[in-house]
Amino acid sequence: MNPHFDLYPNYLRSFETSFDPQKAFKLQFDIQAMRSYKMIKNDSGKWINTPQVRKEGSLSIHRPDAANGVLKVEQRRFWSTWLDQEPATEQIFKALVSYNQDTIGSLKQWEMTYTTTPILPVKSFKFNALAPLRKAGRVEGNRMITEGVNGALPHEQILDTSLSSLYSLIERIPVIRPERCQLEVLDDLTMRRPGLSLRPVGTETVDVEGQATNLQGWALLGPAMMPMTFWLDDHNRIIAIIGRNLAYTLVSATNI
Amino acid sequence: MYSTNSLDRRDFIKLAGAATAGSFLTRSFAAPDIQTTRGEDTRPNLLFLHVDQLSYAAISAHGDPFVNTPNLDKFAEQGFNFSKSYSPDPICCPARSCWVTGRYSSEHNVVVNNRPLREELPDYGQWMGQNGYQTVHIGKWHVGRPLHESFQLIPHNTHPQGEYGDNLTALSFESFLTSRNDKRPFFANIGLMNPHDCGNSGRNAQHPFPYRDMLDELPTLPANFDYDLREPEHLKTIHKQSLGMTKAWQEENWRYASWLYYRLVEMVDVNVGYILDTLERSPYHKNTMIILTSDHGDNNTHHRMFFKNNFYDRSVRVPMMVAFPGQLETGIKDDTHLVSGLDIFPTLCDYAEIEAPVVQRGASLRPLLEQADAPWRKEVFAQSNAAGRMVVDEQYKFVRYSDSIVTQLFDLENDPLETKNLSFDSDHQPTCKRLSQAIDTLESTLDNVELPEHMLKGKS
Repeated sequence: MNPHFDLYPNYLRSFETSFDPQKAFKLQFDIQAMRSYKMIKNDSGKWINTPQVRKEGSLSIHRPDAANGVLKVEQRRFWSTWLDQEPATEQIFKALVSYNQDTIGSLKQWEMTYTTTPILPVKSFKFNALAPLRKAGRVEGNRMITEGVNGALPHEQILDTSLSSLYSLIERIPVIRPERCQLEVLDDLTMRRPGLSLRPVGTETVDVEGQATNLQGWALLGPAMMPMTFWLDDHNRIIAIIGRNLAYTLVSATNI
Repeated sequence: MYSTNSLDRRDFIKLAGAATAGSFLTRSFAAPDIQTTRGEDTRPNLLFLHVDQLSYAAISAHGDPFVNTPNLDKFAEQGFNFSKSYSPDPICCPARSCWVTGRYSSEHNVVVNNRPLREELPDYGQWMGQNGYQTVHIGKWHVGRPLHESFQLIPHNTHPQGEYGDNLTALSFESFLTSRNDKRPFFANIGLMNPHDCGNSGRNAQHPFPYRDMLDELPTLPANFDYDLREPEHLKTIHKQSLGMTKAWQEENWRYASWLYYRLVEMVDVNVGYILDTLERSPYHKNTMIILTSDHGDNNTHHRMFFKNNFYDRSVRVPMMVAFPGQLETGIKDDTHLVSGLDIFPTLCDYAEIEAPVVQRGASLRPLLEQADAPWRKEVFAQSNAAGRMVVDEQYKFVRYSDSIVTQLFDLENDPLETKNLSFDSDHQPTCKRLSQAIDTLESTLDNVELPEHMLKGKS
């Protein structure tokens, strides 16, 4: 069994109804984070330092119109330092992503805002909000151009290969079921991770909410990232994207 | 300009507008915040950018063939790159507490993780704030003092996994830089988490490497994988705990864990590049002095170990790079001078044109950076886990623990991988004695806190 499923199985959800990834849709994921350890006694009475998983955010992807490649994305992440603390800070991305309906959903244009917000009160800490950060970018040929923020000059970078994103891959993989390919990913629509490959990793049968569920996987891996695998169920839903320290687990998927 | 339909576009603008109405850099009142009495304050901005668990050797500019760190490599060429740089205490909280106070762990009280910082010691956030700087902390802190006692701006202070927190730290720095409206110079303490996520690598690497066509890309095992077993008893205990999880491991598991570590190094390299690039394209670049270091390294299979908390070079030797555009020479590789994380506070003060707190155990790097003909230390010291002491001189490293009979002596010049403990060699007894006395001499000058007896016996 793929080692991904040793940590996150309790967070996977089973979906029975059909879903058409080529129509307009709304997807809602929880972000599960594996962090901190807890000593837990196992069945044989031995204390094991056990990684702890908990929800530390959400990702919603809205594809309002099946006719074009546009996604509305909202990603919220919140966390605290230790498991027994309440979350102290929340980060919010809101974005519009325009992409080509090709194998990897290569990016055309995007706009985003990023805000960091204190959640008060938490222990003895005090916090300050930062002003929202607005960013926009586009791809022209092999050039990625990001628009200036608060009057800064535009910034241009040369791409090695086609540029994709987590969000457009989530839309594309169920439709295309791609063969192995090279790409780079703009992580959080800001951090370039070049030199990556997307590759099929076969199928697994996993117990999801008591049901044996067939999942087909595609791994995204390469330099400057922990491998992540997109898992597609028999009903054309990406039900999880699982990395080593975090996972996006599907909560709802509806055609609209 | 946008190829979306108009409804989406309007929605987006509405969403973005609502976000813009948020607060703007409101200040905490807890940290000292004294406006300078001068007119325009032209002192330099100070950016202290730190990563977590990055060994000196684990970047491509330093010759590691298994990792590619273009941004760290580039920064290494933009100023001074010290190769003989040591963590003052190779574990998170103690090392960071040394940075912020300029004092050894035995003095600031944080001898192991999560102990409180000695109350009467000022930290660099407070000090810079009291001396006219706008102070901001973003990212990992992990010092035994609440942040609001130290910094004026704290957009977020917690430390999740670097994998999903470091992007936000970099973006928050960008947000700070592009929206600040303060005539004071800034002191930005920016803490990236990675490659610290390698704390999970052991659990991950217990499985076979899943991408079989990439097996030949796994790092080879280092030449010191089979290490000198004659370790101090204290270190043997740590080593034994570390080896516990690897009992059933094959060579491939070790190499897989190492491969994961290097990916995390590359991951934080991207964030380092984003932060430095953001600064470079800002109006502040020409007047900002930048220090980059790590709190400690990671053994990453060397000596058949992972993690830190020991004095092997992979654990205790860290990058230390300093740049100041237009003010300092570029492309300088300093392979001579012994420097420490204890030097950061006095260096910040020197460039801020203020006195450092009266007692500082490090020294300003400014004479080295400006290539002044000034005397410099011949030995650098570190502590570990309350019981451990290390001294490095121009050739040797000597290690002793208060709860161990066995000591360690390595000839770093002729045995850089620390494969042979020379403390058993009768010819080297004078060196051991000399270096042990150097530790005693230093210790006699320290204002140490009282620690529980069990800690000095290696039990935290």
